[in-house]
This record gives sequence, C-alpha cells and structure tokens, in this order.
Amino acid sequence: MNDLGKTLLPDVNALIIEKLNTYPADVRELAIQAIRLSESYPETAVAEQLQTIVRKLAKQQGGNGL
Amino acid sequence: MILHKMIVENFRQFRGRQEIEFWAPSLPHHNVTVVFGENGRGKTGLFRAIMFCLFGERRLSQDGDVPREELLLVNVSALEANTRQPVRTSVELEFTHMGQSYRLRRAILGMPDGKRIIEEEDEKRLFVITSDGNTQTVPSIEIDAVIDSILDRRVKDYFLFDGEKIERLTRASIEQRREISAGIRNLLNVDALETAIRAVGRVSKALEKELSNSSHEELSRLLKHLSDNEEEQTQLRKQLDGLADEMGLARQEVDKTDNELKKFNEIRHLLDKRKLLEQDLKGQEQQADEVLKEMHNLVCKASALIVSSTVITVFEHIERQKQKGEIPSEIRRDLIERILADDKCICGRVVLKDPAAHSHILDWQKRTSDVATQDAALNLWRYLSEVRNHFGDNADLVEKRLQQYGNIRSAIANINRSLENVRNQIGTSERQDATKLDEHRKKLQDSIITLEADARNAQTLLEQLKQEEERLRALLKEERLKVGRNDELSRRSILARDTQDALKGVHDQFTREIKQLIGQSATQFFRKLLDKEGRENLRTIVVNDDYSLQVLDRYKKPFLANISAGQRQIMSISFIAALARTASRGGQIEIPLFMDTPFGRLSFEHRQNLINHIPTFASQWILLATDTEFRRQEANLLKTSGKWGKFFILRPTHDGNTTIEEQDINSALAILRDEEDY
Repeated sequence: MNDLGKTLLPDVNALIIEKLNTYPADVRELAIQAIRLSESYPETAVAEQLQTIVRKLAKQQGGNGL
Repeated sequence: MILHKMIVENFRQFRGRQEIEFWAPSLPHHNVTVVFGENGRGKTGLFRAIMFCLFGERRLSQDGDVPREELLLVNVSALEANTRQPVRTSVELEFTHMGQSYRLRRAILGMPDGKRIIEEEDEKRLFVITSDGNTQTVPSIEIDAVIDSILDRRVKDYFLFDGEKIERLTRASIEQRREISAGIRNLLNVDALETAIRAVGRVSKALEKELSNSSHEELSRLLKHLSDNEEEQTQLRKQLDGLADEMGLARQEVDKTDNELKKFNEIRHLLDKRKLLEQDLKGQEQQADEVLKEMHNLVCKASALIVSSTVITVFEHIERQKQKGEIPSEIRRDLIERILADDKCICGRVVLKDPAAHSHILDWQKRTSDVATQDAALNLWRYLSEVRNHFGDNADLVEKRLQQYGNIRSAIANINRSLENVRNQIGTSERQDATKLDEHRKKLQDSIITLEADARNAQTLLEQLKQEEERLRALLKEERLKVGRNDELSRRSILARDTQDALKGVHDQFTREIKQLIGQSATQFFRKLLDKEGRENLRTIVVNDDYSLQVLDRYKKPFLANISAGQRQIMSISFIAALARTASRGGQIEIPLFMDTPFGRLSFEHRQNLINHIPTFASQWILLATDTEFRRQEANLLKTSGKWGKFFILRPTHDGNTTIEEQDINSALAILRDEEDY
C-alpha cells in the first residue's frame, strides 16, 4: 500500500503535505500554510492569518490571468 | 525506548527505597523481564510508577471511575510512621531512546490533612547523558515535550495489556469501538491537520458571507447551499453514530437479558431455539436485501420487457418488409423517380409507350421508400433484433429473482410464525420472573427494529444529500468559470473552499490508510501467534469503517462471534502490537510492552507462540505474572528462547508492604511450580 509504516508520527505533517501534491498550486500553498500555522497557533489565530494569505494568493491568481 | 532501571521510594506498596533493573547492559539481547507476584502485591503498581514518572499521571485506564483521592501514590504506612511530617514519594527512571540515555525523576510530597491525605508535586527533573558521560539538565518547561517525543502520552495506555483491556477490545460493543477509535485517532496525530480544516472552514464561511452581499448572487447561493448541505450531512452522521450507539446498548441489554433468562433451566431449550430462529431470520433478511439490490440493478435491462410485444411486432413488420424486398428496395426510389421524370428506362425504352411497364414502375414507386427512411428502418431492425435476443435471458433472470425473493419472504414468514410460537411458550412459562424478563427483551427487540428503521432512513437521506452535493459541485464549477476569473472576492472564496475540501480529502485518505495498515500489521502478528488450528481457519483482522474489529475466516466471512476466549486474547494482543508497531514507524516496537497476567485463557501452544515471538517483535517485554499462569513450563520455554534477562519476585512484608527481590533465572525454575502441582 504505502510507506506509512516507516514515516508515521513525527513526520505525519510531512506525509500529509506530500499528499497535497496532487492539488493545484494555490490550494496546496494555502493548505500547507494552514497546517504549518496550526502546529503553533490555535484555530482562531490561524484563521486570522489565513485571511491575509488567501488575499495574497487570490491577487496572484488575478495577476496570472487565472 | 528501553527501560534500564527504576528506583521507587515510598511509592504505593513499596516502602523505603527499592530498585528494579529491567535490562542489563551486559546482556543486551536478553530483553524479557518477569515480575512475579501474587495479586495485590504491586505488579500493576510498577507500571503505574513508570506512567507517573514519565507523564505525572496517577490514573491508569483500568482505574475506571475510582475517585482521584483514592488513588494515592504515597506509601501509607510510611506516612503513618512519620506522623505530622510529609513523606517524599519519588520514582526515578533510567532509559535509552534512539541511542540517547536519559534519567528522569519525579517526586511528590504526601501529607495528612485531617482525615484526608494530600499529595503535592515536589520535583520533576530530566537529565540527558551525553556520549562523553556528561550530564545535561533539560529545562523544566521542555521536559513534557521531550518525553512526548519519545512516547506520545496519548498512546501510552496501550502498552499495558491487562485482562480487562483484552476482554474489552474484542467485544462487539460501543466501548470497544470507542477504544479502538481513540487508539487509532491518537496514533494518527493529526491535530494540526484538524485545526487547519476548521480554520480554513472559518475563512471560507466568512468569505461566503461577504460574497452574499456582492453582485454574484448565483455563486453566493450555490456556496451557501453547499455549506448547508455539508452541515446537514455532518448532523446526519452524528445522528447515525448516536443510533448505532443506542442499538449497541440495546443489543448488549438483550445479551444481558438472555444470560439472565438462561438461569431458568426449564425454558433453556426454548431460548436456544429462539436464538437459532433469530439468527436464521437475520440471515434470511440479509439475503432478501441482497436479492432486492440485484433486482434494483436489473431495472434498466428489465424495463424493455414491458414493451416486448411492441418490440416484437415492429421487428416482425420490418422483417416482413425485408423478406418482400421492400427494405432495402430492389430498385432505389430516386432511380424510379428519374425514369418517370425522363420517361425513359435505363435500357433506353420510352416508358409511356408501354402501359404495362409504366404501371409496373408506378407499382414499384409505391413500394419503395426514400434512402433515409430505409436506413432508419434497417438500423431499427438491427437494434430490435439485439434487444429481442436478450428478452429470454432477462425474463428468466427477473423470474428467477422474483421467485427467489418470494421464497425468502415465505421463509421469513415461517420463521416469524415459529418465533412467535416460541415467544408465546416462553411468555406462558410458569416462572413469572422469566416472563417479565422476556417481555423486557421483546421491548428491547422492538426498539432495535425502530432504531434500525431510523438508521436506514437517515442513511437514505445521507445518500440523497451526497447526490445533491455532487450536483451542487457541478453547478458551482460552471458558475465559477463564469465569474471566478475576474473577481477577487470570488477567487478568494473558491480558493478557501477548495482548500478545505483538499484538507478533508487528505484527512479521510490518511485515516483509511492507517486503518488498513493496522489491519495488515495485526494480521501478521495474529497469524504468528495463533495455534495451528486457528491459523487454518482464521485469516485476516480487519478494522471496520466504524472502528470495530473483525476477524475473517478462510472464506473471507466474518467469524468474530465464533472464536474462542483464547483466540480473542491473541487477537487483542495482535491489534495492540500493530498499534505499537505503527507508532514505532513500522520497525521493531520501540516501546516496552507490559503484559499483566497475559496467559490466563491461553492454551499452551498460544503461550509458546507468545514467548517465542513477542521478544522478537518488541524491544522489551515485561511480564507481570502470577504463579497460576507463569509456571515451570513457561519459564523453561522462555529460558530456551535465550531472551530472558531478569527475574523479580514481589514479596509481602510483615507490615503489608512489598519488597522487590531479584532472583537468578536458574533459581526461578526451582521456585516455580509445574502444572500438575495445581
């Protein structure tokens, strides 16, 4: 099935991030930032910081003509 | 993690300072320690001391509802001897992990306070011993994080197997599902992912609200519907969980009532008969469901049977025209029309001069149709020919299924009649107490039927919502193509929603994979630990979607209900070993496995397999055993394995305390008894 057995526990977030590879770049970027922030901050603080990241990514999308 | 040594001081039964060495550096491959003692001597107390030292916890999972004030760690006789003076209780643990050595010390002060005894934290210190022999102190604030990185506190309880836990894990009960679910959830360690999902969800909701005030009404409407749909699905899932819990409780109550009823010997045969009939009924109902599902799948094919006579009439009509040469016609209509228009045959003769030939051509003209109509008729003929060929097969299949369904319904009706009859006999039993119990049971069964119906309805509703969700997503995809490119707010909202979906998808995939991985790993252990007979029949351990455990037989059929108490114990040990292996990242289990009286229900072959295999799976095996289960036979097996390093006896003292006494393993054989001695 996969190499979960070898990579569990401490590397769990790295494994999750790897699974996000199949998603579009902006979704992946936002998801990774959300996980990274969630490692250190509570939910509300993460949501606040994500607002800025979402705005930045959406602007970039617009700039790329997407 | 390998435990080397523990020093306890005034801890529970252990008065004064006492030491236990679990592992000797001179015998690095001897990773088995046996702690031998009667019940109540403090075997579990040693595990408690380790948990206290590592995590500051005094409560073990098996303590259940025992109030905290009753879970004293301080040695009470030391406290009594030391009236009015606090007594220091401490545990010091030396261990290695990933080649690094640690020394951890935790202490509390116990003191009387009126009739109560209070305990206050006194000391917590962790030292790391570097390779050059120097000692570094870990700052107090970092100690918990360091220990958690060595052994996550959320999975710690799995490494003490006691009889109760073993029993609980294999029972088909809510507690079992919760226990396993908690074990796997803790192991997943996806806290950050779950926080991220909720945080992105908040952002998404806020943006949807903002969008609803903008000009993109349709996009906003769709996003809102999707959110509502997801919320409804979440509520329905919760409802289904609640119903499953209620059904589980009702079934447990039925089992309990059955056990009570069995005490009435005069109706025992009726109870057995009822149980068989109920099992049969369940089997028939399952079969009926399966046949209904098959019939549902046949609807598309079988619908043509309704118009079979029309199909055959049309087919035969075209066929007749074909036979007559009208389709396709011998001469093309456009050719005849050209002859009539030119008044000249293809041979050059003038048609009008020959009235018989002219009339013949007019007759041909009537019988022929245009090319497109002919092609359509021929295509229809081919299609109907194909459809017609399957009529026989489909009709047979439908008839067979209908007959099968009818037979099953009739069998169900017969079983229900027999059940009613048996129930009446139980109900009219002279034993009024039995009758009351049976009425109680009947009410429970009725409530299970109602709950099952509620669960089916909720499930159907959930399926409908899922279909609606798919439809909404498709509409959303179209809508976002229209508006998403030019509007930043829409782009933000869509991005947040897509990210939330992506994170949820990863979470689901991850959970599924972990369950599968644990099932596979548990199966490997199970196959090694089972006796020959068990290995022949029992093949796979599965962690179901609802987190219940199941074992499949050689025909891949569920077999948990039929396995023996010993096999259940082996199954639980395999599951916990799989959890431990997964927590140890697939390699050797780097967590010491404590087993409290593990051999109780096991056959000698099972004991033999445990003794031969556990020391190779685990980095350390600490057996807490009584004299009724750890006998000379087991000791001989362990000695032969070459893995047995240490042997301790917990001896009672005159004042009701316990002393830890190390014995040479050779002398252990002299102390232990043979099976015949019992």
